[in-house]
Amino acid sequence: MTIGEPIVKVTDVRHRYRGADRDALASVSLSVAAGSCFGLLGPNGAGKSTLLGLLTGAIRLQHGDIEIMGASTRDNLPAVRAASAIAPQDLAFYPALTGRENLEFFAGVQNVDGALRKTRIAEASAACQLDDVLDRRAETYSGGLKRRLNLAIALVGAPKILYLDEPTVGIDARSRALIVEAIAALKRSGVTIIYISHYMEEVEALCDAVAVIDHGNVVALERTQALVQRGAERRLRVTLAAPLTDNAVLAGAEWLDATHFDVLLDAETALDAWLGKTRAAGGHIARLDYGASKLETIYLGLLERGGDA
Amino acid sequence: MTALVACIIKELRLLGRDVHGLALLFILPLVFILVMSLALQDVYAARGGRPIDVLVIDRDGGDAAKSLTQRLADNGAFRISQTTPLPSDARLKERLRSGEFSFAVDVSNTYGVTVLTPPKPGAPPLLTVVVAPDASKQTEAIFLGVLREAVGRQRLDLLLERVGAGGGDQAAGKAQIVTTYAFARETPPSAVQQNVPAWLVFAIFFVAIPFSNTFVRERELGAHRRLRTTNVSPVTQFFGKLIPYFAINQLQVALMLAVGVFLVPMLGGEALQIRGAPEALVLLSAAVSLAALGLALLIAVVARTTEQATMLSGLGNIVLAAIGGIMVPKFVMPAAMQDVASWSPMAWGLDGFLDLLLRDGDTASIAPELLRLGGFGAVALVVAWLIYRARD
Repeated sequence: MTIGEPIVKVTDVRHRYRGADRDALASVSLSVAAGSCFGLLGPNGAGKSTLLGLLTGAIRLQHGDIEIMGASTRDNLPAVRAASAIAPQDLAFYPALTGRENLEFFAGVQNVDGALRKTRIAEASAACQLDDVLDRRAETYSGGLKRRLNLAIALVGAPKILYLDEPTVGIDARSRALIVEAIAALKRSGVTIIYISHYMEEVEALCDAVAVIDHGNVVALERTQALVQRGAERRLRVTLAAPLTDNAVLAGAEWLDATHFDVLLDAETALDAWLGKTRAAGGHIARLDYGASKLETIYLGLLERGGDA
Repeated sequence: MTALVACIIKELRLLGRDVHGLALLFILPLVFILVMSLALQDVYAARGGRPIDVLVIDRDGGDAAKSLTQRLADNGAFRISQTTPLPSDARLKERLRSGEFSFAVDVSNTYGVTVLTPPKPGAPPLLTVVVAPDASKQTEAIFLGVLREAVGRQRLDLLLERVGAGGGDQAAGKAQIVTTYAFARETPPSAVQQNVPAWLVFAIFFVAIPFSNTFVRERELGAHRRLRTTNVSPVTQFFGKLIPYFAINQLQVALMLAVGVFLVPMLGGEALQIRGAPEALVLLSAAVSLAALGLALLIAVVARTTEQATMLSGLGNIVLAAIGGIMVPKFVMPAAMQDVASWSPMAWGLDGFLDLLLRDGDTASIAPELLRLGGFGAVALVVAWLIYRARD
């Protein structure tokens, strides 16, 4: 499958938990291209985990439709489950078993047996760099090793679609880098990845497209680069050498702190005008950044404005 | 099939590393069996016919005194010892306190002369009986009754001899009473015969603790959530847990019976005799296991935390054991408590084992227990399944 062909289609999905007074998901529609990495962003309680539960079949679909590789979660769950795997946010394995025994068990329950099982375990272990510790009990692993085992278990079934729910949370920078590299390698090998994380730099580096969910609604859905660029368009960030005596003289500036402000340039001549106004107000310009933005800034802006970015 | 095998192997590995769980399943009942069998063997042995040790101090030494001693020895319930030289009072009491004898009979030095004369006020007693501190009142009364009967019969014989009617016919006296035993094979139960089945049933039901704990822990860990995203069915997962624990139960049965047969006699107790139809024993241990696993699964799906699971299964088992005749034999309970006991699945299991081990039972004789245990297990499994699906 080449990148671009939809492999996951979510159409008008709604979900409300029993006893809740509002929808956990309200009319969510999105699609994920095969072989891509798709970021699912949003604050805690936004509905990401509910969507993940619906995608994996762990939660029964109430309204709308979800198709995974052409199979509906409503009436062909076995096919959906056979095609996908999840590395949940919780460390979902048995601490009293060794890494190898955990991999053997999760391969076994997916009916991966014999020589194929050995091959898959070796591949998953290599992908997550667990070879040296595979015969140690998982309870003796460091936090980073546990996260890598959590990921490796998701790989033993050789899934076409991999759901990663905050795979790097709570671990050191080196382990994070190892996991991010492993995920990048999986993506290069053609695995479609749906990635939940609060680390925006990871999402920006790995994800081809993102959906931002807030209060059960999709507030942004587009390619990552486009989203970053959208926020960066015409944005000038001015860094002053020292604070001004009166910020109010620069009307229209969005002050980030005492020495930083952003302005949106609405015409080709606006840059000259703003530089002139800043100097006239007594400001000494230390640095100018034009067209630069980060996903995190965009993301926070989206949440702040309720998606109207 | 691969998924089921994977689940079974995983469960066995987890249990194999659960030291506390293993101790609970194997060491605890083993210790109970050994301690209870050895500690209570004298109680059961006395009930079962072990002779009561009696020391006779014959100060008379005449034919009548010797005849009395012989009559006591002929009773069969007593093992008679005589002392030479005669001990002091202090030494005598010391030997009774040490447990060497239950009774001492001091035969007066005028026994032969006075046995036929009516007792005179102030005269020395014909016989003096010293009772050991650990002899029960019941045994004391029986012993005194036997002693009075022996003296009375001796008097009768002596009187008949004097009037020329010849000696009494002791053999005729014995022939008038025919004794039969309610125990199978004319052998009374020993402590081990009572205790092995009781603590075996207790051990089988104790699987509820490790079983429910691994179940709840799997849920807490998130492994359960991950499994729900795979194609392994809940039924496979259930059987993947039930089958290894069923095997563990059968291993417990074999081990505990082996302890009764081989280890208890090595430590000075009586050996367990395996009686009853072997196929009935297999069926019964399977039925007890089914009931225990049904209860374990029910607790596992109801409990939300491992603490709840431990409390429910531990406390539940102890209550079932207490009312089910495991800790206190049912035959010593009042009628009302015995009625309550009949509601405990542990009591059904114990009754079945006692029927096999004490009464040479077969499948037909334990059919009611098999049906009750099987029914309880099946209902518990179905209810557990329904609760699990409702919460899913």
